[in-house]
Amino acid sequence: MKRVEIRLDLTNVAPLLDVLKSASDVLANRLALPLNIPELDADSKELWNHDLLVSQNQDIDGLIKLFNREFFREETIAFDEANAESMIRACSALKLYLFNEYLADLDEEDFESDNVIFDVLSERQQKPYLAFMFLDTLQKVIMRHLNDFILEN
Amino acid sequence: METRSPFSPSAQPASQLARAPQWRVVFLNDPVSRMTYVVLVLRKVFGFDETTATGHMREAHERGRAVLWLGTRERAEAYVFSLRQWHLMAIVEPNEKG
Repeated sequence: MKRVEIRLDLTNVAPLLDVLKSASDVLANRLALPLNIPELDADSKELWNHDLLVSQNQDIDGLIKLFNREFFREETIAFDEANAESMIRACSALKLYLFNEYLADLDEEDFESDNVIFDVLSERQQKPYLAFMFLDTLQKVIMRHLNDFILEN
Repeated sequence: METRSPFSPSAQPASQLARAPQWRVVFLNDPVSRMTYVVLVLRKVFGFDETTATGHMREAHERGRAVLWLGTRERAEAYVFSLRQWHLMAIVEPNEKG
């Protein structure tokens, strides 16, 4: 089984874990992507909301659990064929939440092209932005190394 | 966790669906999802090749939306459900809509 280990700098990552944990707590009860589909009837909406929430929270729980005691000892997290799909979905859910909650007023073009100037962010936005970029990087690394496994799974 | 859908959609050639296209799956652009992620998910969910998936991704990026699939309502909903499990903004709508 292909396994990707990522060594992280604890001093940089540890402060972001609070942001991720807070986001995961909020998302325990709501979808990162609101279910705004006009054509769905009320029963379907309720069923979808439930099933999508279960899926979302299983993914996010898996990601948060990577940052356990072992991580604080080894400063390493690992991805493989078994968790790659779930991890990139979790990254997306948390990124969506952080963007909508803290970063939505940034210039969309700057944001998409990674041209956001950190110093112009408000204090309230700075840690969420770093957490967003951290998740974005994790997602890219997983896709770069495990893309084929995700497609074939 | 495995991606799952209560409807189990599967890819189907557009030529077979052209006879009675009633509903469509529309992918809406968002500023959060990276292009590589969108392409991966479209390939995974629909079985598109890379060129097709990239074309749909670019269309959504440039025009704000891209129609990904036409067919029965049940299967269109199944695809939208799957895309939403991957946190991509997709909707189902009647094909006659402008």
